[in-house]
Amino acid sequence: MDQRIRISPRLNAIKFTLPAENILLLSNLLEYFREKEINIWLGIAIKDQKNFLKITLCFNPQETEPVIGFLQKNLAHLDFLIIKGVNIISVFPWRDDPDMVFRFIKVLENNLIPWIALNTSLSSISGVIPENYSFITQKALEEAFNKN
Amino acid sequence: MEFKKIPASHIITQQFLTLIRAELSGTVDPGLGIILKELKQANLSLRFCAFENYLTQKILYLGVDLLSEENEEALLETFTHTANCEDLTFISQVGKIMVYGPHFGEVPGILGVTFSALSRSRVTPLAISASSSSLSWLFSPQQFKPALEVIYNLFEFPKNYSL
Repeated sequence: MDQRIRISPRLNAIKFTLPAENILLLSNLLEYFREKEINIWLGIAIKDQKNFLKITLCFNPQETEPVIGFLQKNLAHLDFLIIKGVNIISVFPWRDDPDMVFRFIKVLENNLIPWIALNTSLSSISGVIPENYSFITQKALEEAFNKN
Repeated sequence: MEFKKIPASHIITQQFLTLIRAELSGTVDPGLGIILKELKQANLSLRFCAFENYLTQKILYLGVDLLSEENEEALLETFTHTANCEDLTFISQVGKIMVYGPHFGEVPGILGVTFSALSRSRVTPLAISASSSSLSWLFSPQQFKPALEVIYNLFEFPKNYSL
């Protein structure tokens, strides 16, 4: 089956951790994104074994200032990491195939790509990659997925 | 102000999944490889996938077809003897809801709307994964039906659409 690789425009990402019982904070942040019409290109929220929510959100670079402003004003106690310049690189199509997830992530690890987050949607598997590594990631994924 | 439902193309629901949560140090392999090999041998599909990378710690969420006790035991056995595997947890009978709309990327705030609506109904997802064309959530078995109700109240599906 032919696989296609797609790459998003340049985005920024924010990563932060919240105690799971403070889920209202996440709700407030997402509500703020809605009010300001900030589009989330990719979002993940999962809990670790200590019951902390690990969150990654990717958005357009021009939205960074309001996002940081909101976090500093409303969640001053929160440690967050802004990663400027990331791309979402996706492989299509994905059909619930565990092998494909493994191949995708092995390509990243074999090429020492410092991936930030990874998820699947209805038809694709996507990784958030620092833009400095996007070219090599794209080439490596094309080689891995288009040679069969 | 009257709430206007968000147009969506379709909704996919899957119940009776097992959520596998794994925490690994260093690289994802061999920990992830062990899990995926077991899934392949048991001919199980992967319905949900979200990974977070925090320098030395990787957290993997995998929603798979319901694992049997034998599958879980086999996985635990191998996993606990693997160097980079720190924690493996199974949560059974979880439900997945995925709403798809190729235009979602042009609807800013869609994740906030759904998250707020779920919170108001006291529904807390076990995991959230959003892309520019779909939103997916995993829910505990108790919260699956209330969540589905919330989602149906928020989204509008094509008239000829049926589950």
